[in-house]
Amino acid sequence: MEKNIIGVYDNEHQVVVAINQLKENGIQVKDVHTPFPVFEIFEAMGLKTRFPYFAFGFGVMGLSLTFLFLYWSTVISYPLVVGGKPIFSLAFVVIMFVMTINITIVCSLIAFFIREKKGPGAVANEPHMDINDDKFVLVVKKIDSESLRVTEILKNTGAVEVEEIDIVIED
Amino acid sequence: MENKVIISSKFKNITFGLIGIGIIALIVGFIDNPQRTWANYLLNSYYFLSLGIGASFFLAIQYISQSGWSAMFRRVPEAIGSFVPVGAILLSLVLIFGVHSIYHWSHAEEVAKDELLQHKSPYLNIPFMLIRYVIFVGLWVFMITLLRKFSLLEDIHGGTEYFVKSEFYSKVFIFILGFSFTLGTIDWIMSINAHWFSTLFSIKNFVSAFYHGSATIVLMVIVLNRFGYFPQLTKYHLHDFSRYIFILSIMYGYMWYAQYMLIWYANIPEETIYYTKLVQGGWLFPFYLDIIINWAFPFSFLLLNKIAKNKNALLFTVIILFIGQWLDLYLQIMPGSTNVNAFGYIEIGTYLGFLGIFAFVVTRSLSKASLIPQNHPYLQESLAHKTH
Repeated sequence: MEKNIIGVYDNEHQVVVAINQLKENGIQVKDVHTPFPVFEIFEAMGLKTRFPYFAFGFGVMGLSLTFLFLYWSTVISYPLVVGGKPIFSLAFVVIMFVMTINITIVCSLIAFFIREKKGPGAVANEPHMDINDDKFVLVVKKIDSESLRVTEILKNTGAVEVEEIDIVIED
Repeated sequence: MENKVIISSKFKNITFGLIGIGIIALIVGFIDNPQRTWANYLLNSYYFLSLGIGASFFLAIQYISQSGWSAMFRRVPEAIGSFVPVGAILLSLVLIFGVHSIYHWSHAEEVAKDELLQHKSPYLNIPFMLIRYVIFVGLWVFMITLLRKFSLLEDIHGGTEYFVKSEFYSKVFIFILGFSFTLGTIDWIMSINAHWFSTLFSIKNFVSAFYHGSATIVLMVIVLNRFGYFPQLTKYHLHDFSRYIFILSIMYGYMWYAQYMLIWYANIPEETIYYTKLVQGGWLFPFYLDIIINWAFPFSFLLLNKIAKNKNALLFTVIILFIGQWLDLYLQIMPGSTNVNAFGYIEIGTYLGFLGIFAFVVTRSLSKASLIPQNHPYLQESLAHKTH
């Protein structure tokens, strides 16, 4: 449990300005909550994601697993000639294509939930209820020597609400 | 920002040299092996015509979707589209003078023996084919000239009036193109194998034209950038260009596979004969090379974000694709017309000759107007474009 200062904003452009101003003043932004993904914030925070590599890995995994399954079932375990076509044939491609997409999406979703510790029974830890609606919330860790400066910057950049809260934000 | 492309006399001499090589190759070829020369002539005139059509389609799509990012590159597809009238004249020569060398159905004595061709002859005869040709090409040239005219008027007068007009006529244009290019490819390419038919053939060729037309646009933009034009070209523009190439490569691979798969699976003799010849008749290597360089290579290469934003990597990809369209058409034309899988001076010479004409016409059109449109409503958006 630790003290945080949050600024509630009406739009994402103000959040980007605020992040940049805080960074210029040497203050670390802890977290940003938005109702939808905003790439500008992602870049301003200097975040990096390994998610595309995971998705690619899942895709390769899905492709090879589907191929192995098809090969095992139609060639090794139960070879059945249909319409005079070869047993190991071109028709694999359609199923491999569809299953690759399917496996990639489902695995990516699961990976996302594990990484974010979300799922059934997870406790919501939103700093402000309006992030589910139309507000953008910026969270800064409270350090007593800086708190006045942080409040000032947040207000100057157009925050409609600045308050101190106790929340647990895992990262 | 008045910025016109200046074509050096050295470049003009090179294009004249290429045209000279092409003329010599054609003359020697006509004496040596007229049938193969006509087939090559058809291949190259259709190749560059399809690039022009693909680029014009790209332009029309940019208007209709009101895309901001591509606004400053608009002159490049316009310039490539300006090849269409020239390409149409070149193509008409093969349809008038070379028709008996390539098209089996054009021989009256063959039709008399062949019941299937007799059945098709009310549609597939020389006068009607030429009438269709004139209608299609006339419509394309008219629409492309109209879009070019609006674009040039916009430079002078400004405002959004010409943009709105262009958007409307782009909608008309893609509607016309959908019908006419489909029927055109059936006339010029598919009817080489007059007994064979495939419903996916024309959509595959249409996608192929769009795909390689877009690749040509990227090629020209990057080459112009090398010569100091388009200083505003950023990695974000390159990223969007790569996305176009990437998506169209999937589209192309999809159509290639769908056509092959359906014919292979249905196993109807008059359809499979086309692929039997390709796979078992000595065309196996170019057959697989086609799908590798037109789909597998761009798909796997442009998958990585860093490569998709890299200028040299993208240049390499589009040069490969520039050759890929030639190979694709080679496989569609040669087995049916000459049935000789050969690559010699006729192929190279004709290609270089047509490349010379293409380069000459396109650069001439490019140098006539300011490279970056002056008063395009989305110009600022294009200059400040960013992707993520």
